[in-house]
Amino acid sequence: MAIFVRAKLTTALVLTGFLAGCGQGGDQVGSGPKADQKSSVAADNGYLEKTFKSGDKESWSKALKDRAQGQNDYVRSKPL
Amino acid sequence: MAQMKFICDTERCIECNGCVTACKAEHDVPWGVNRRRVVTINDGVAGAEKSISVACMHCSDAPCMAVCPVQCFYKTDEGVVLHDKDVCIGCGYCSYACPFGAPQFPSGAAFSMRGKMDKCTFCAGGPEQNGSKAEYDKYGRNRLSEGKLPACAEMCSTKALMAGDGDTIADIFRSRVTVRQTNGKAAGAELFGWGTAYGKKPPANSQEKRG
Repeated sequence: MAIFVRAKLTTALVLTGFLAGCGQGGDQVGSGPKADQKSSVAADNGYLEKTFKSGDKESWSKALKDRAQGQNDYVRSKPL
Repeated sequence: MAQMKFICDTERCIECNGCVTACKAEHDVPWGVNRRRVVTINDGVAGAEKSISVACMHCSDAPCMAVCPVQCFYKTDEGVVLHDKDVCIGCGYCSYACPFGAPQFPSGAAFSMRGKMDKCTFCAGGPEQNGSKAEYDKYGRNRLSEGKLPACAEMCSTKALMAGDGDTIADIFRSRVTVRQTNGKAAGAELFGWGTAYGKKPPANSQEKRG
């Protein structure tokens, strides 16, 4: 009887091991998105506009606000 | 800083598709995927034909974020809605939820006919190191971290499409509307739902002529 129970337990353990092996390793589903850097952290490439200090949100915000005025024709052109 | 927003001035948009081209070129967007497109209504109706450039509007209460079963979306401090392609399973729920048709699904990718979702990032990249190759390969250029605004708006020849701090571009649009109204011209705010929000009915002929 004891041998029979032990065989059942062994089979269950082996099957559990097999099933675990079938799972997708390193799955990120359900873990949510990875942490992202702040936009005010300067890009690590050669296209950077040096109008703000990396990591300084105030200077970055001001740089973008100033740049946004490039879309304002009433500022770009002088009144007649 | 307020929230980052797009706004398209329908009185200025000339349907040149410069914004679409700028976006595709800037981010090396694959064939068949359009993060931005120009929609025209009342086609051929004199005086009533209007075009508007549409992409992800980075909603304040984004429905795509609400329906995503794997929570791949997140919002930056500036209100830009981004997503993690390493978490996305390409289910397409966001596509059904989005009122602007922003989510795109490239074919021939990880999930064959329905790959991982791709959409406008407001040129803010994704959850990788700013300006890195990994970020560019997955999400395109991160212009915000370069101190620039989205390429589509900066390349717009008539400055119809504007992007940036919501307060700033709203001020620019408001000044245009004021000048037009002073000159007795159409203000151009109707198509944005301004009338819906403030109770003004759309022009009487716009519905009749469309049919």
